[in-house]
Amino acid sequence: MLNTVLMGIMTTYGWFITIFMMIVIIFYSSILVISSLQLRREYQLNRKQTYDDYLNDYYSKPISIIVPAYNEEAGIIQSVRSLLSIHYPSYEIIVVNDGSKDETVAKMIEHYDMVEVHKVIRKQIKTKPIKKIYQSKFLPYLYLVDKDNGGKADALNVGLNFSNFPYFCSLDGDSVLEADAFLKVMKPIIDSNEQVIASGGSIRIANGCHIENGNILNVGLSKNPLVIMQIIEYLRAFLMGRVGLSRHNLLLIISGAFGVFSKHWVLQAGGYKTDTVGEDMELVVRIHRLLKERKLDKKIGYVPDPVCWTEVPESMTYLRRQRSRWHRGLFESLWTHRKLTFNPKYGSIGFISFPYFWIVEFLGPVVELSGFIYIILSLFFGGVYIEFAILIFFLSCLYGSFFSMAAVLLEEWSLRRYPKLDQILKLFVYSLTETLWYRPLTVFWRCEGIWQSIKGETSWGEMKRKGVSK
Amino acid sequence: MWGKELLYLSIATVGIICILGIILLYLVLRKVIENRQKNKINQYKERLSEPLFSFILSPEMSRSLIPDNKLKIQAIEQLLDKYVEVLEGDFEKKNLYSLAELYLTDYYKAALKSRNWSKRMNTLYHIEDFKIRLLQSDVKQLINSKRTTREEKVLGLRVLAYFNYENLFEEIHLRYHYFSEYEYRSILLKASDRILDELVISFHKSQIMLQKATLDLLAHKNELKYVPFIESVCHSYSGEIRLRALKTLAAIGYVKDISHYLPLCKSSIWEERMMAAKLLGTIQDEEGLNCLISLLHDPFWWVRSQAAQSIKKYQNGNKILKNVYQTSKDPFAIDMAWEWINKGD
Repeated sequence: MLNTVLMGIMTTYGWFITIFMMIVIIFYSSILVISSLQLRREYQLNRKQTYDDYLNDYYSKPISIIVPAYNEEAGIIQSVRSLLSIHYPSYEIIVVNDGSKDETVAKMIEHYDMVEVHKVIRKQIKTKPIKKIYQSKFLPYLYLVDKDNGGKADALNVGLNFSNFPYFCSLDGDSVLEADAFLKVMKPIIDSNEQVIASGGSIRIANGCHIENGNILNVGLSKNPLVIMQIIEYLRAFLMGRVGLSRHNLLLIISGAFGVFSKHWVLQAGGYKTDTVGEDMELVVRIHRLLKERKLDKKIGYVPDPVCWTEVPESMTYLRRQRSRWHRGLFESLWTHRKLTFNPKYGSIGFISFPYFWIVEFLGPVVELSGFIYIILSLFFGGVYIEFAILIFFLSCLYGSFFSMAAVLLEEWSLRRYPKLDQILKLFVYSLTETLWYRPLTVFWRCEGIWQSIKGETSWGEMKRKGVSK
Repeated sequence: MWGKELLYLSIATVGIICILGIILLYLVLRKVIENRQKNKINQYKERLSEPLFSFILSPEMSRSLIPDNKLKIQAIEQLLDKYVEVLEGDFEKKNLYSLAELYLTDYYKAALKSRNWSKRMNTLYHIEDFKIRLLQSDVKQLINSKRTTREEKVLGLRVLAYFNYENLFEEIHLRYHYFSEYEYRSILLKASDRILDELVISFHKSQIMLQKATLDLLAHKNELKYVPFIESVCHSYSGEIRLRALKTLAAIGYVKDISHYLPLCKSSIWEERMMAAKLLGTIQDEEGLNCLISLLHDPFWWVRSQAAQSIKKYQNGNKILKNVYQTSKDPFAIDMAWEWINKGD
């Protein structure tokens, strides 16, 4: 009796996993097609000249760059230096010291010859109090705002209040920008006559690249297998996922590492939310929501070009923390705005984006994990379940490895940032192995994130930085 | 129970791996070939750079320059591309253009008909950089073709504007009324004075995006002869066009009679008050001071900030701000005055 019930459950569950994976595979495949068409069109366009136009245009939009810093004394000088050499006609840099306990402020003041200034700040979003404001003597567009500790989102809000320009960009301390980053991401905004109100670009991985003074000199591959897998993962997420989603204005994420927003709309939406670990996604969702509620025809854009190189964790411990934190952030954003799910008022965001993020991104790992468990269990049951297990294994190969391999090929087909042949081959071979080890690991960590959300954990999980720049 | 399905699935899996493998093979081959071509082009560039440069300095034909294959043409293109950015003298530039015309015209003629979008775009950029007038009719043909994209049309029209093409203005008026402000500006930024005059003359008939772009271009040109026209726009239009006209006047920094603009300080639209403050700041007429001081007490932050900035530009600006700081009762005005007193010194 018990045996029959168990068998029934096993069969039904096997079916469930199979169908789930099939649907996701179909969804991913269509995104892959959309992305390839989009990327192919701009293949080999002489980008330098395209962007020159924008640089020469005396009418380009000025940008405020906000750099939140918490205990960043090791890298802050380098980060700011890399910002000083970017190609853009007019911008200001606002470093917001979020009550660091180290020498961040002293280092900035000393290195950039900063003096205290008095400035009136429009308090458009409520934040923790500001202590002092400094301005560099020889670089008048470089500011340092010293404030009480309140977290990254609070620091960003202070930067927003302080900023003078109509567009702003938030930047992580450990990222290196391409010199043309702002020209690239501002292009959709300017081209669309400001119908696009926020825009981001691809993030690439800096570990293994040769970087000096905040400039990428040589694109390289790290020797660490974990880093290589993350490179593949990023290629897949950005080249496939985001290009495809942004094509139809379905994008719910602009990476926190780098994105440009119209200040007006961010203020309308109420700025960054301070009590979530995924403030970047939450903000984009809120902007989408605002646009739909006011029935405005505005868009969130995305350019596939790499614009920002960031340092990723090299050890299991930190990667695990990062992944479970990301997953908690995802859950918080979705949960806060759960009303949008299948709500006809929110159109395609409610009917495609939200279900996609709930089912594929959020619950996908649970199904995948149970798939792996199913495979192991079936070895004990034998018989018909082995066949089911093989079926599921094939599907998860499709799900994991094959799309990654396709993403690597897509990169070489269109953008081609890896100059050497062996780099591409290495990436391809590694992506083949994804289902066997890396995928189960990340799936497990993400499920851990779900578990933490249920328990109500809110820790941030700091990351130890090596510093990417020399 | 799954025998058949599993067989199909494994066939599919093997199939997908094969397809991916074939794509990989293709990309690898492509990479090898292209890396080789790149090396070859670099060799050509090394060999050609000296004779090319000496031709630009004193035009005398050299046999080695004759491009007998595609890679050599590309090498020449890349070298000229580099030189055109750094060269200053008119004589040298003229030589460079004639060299480009001689060697690249046929190559570009074919490239404009390419099926590859980015190739056509890159060619248009190069035609613009090297000013190859011989290709004007080809560019026109490209713009008028049905399959041409919007980006190509904008870029192509810009090349035509650069060549001072006779009917450009009519074309824009008749056919291209749907461009954005940015696109118009991009097309017209390098247009000749003749085209600019045509824009001014038929300003009232133009559509709003073109009007905005025109005003911005006039600000960019910064020529006094357009001031009467801009002033007339300012008086006869309202809304955004009027704001743009004010902004243009502020950029040029001259108006015939400032007293016409003082009533704007009491405008019910805050943007107009802000622009008035900006204008007064560039003209720095004593008559405007009272107006600016009242704007320093405006309810809008942007107006106050602009007013303070403009007062600061006056010769005795700091003194006036200090006076406001000491005597005013409005805490917002005091704050703003304090900020600008402390700015920049």
